[in-house]
Amino acid sequence: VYKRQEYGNKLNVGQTVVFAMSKLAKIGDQAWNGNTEKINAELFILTYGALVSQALKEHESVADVNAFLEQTGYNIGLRLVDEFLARSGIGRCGDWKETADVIAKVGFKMFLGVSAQVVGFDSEKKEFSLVLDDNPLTEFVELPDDAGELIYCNVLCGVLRGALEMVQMSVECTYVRCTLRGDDASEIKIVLKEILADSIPAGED
Amino acid sequence: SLYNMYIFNRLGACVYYEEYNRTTPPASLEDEQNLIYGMLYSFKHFVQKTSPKPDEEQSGFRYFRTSAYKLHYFETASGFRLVLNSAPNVADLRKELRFVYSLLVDYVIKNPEYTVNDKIQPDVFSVFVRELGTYLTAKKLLK
Repeated sequence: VYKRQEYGNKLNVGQTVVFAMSKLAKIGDQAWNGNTEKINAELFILTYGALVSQALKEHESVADVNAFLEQTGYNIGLRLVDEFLARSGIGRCGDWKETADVIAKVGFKMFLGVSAQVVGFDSEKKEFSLVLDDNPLTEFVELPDDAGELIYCNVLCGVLRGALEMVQMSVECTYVRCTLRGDDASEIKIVLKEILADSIPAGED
Repeated sequence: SLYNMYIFNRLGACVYYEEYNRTTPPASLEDEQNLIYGMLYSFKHFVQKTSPKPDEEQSGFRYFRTSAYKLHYFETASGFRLVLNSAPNVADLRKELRFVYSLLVDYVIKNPEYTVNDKIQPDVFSVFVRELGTYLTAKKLLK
């Protein structure tokens, strides 16, 4: 049991953050190694690739495809959050920083097998970025020249948006950097728009 | 020694209700479900406000007991609330309710036929009902 401390004594914050991170990393590892059913990575990657190429054929513009991927991700996120909560046993996060750490260390680890890093955390603007050194979705993938503004992994942004909405946080996720476009890492930026209030049951005044 | 179970979604609607052993059924099941949800909502906030340690995750409303029954409560961060009424002498069922939640995830939420926040129809989600029954029987809560 450790006490969260406000941003006062820098040394204490560092210590509690390190402790918290290693505890979360452990939860993430346990969730990944323990009772998670896994599927073949290539199957998953190729299926996703097929989904994206089919979407490109079916939609008229690349912007439509991006929106489709994001919406698909959103629907996944709505359900994924419950599996995440059930598997990891993590309860409500105390603050925005903890949310960021939990997503990066436990969430990503549990579902994609890789942890992300939290960078650019800004508690005033309520935003942070998740950096993935290697994104499993983009393995074997090469974008064609006519891909235009396609955000191949936009589904991840949708998943984060949907999942966080189910735990009362309305966020905006954008894919900032992508290894498919020549960047050195993949980066997703998450900005908290508002905290949704608990819905009051009907009939209560 | 179980009387009944309710599962509420994050909007306050009761998505699943099962009776195991109940002597006097209520006049209106829907009214009773709304009443229970409203009470739990208020009670949870009441407990948080009056608690000497409001920040701790583990502190919070777990169950209440009367001379006639014990109501066990489990809530998830995503807003699902599981309620189980049992005989007064039954021990804390928090772990069991957590497992029921994982059953809910595996057999209902992951089922493509389920739209989030919908009612759980027992005939469509018969596997969930069956697994639930098997688990509760295995835990000696049901005969």
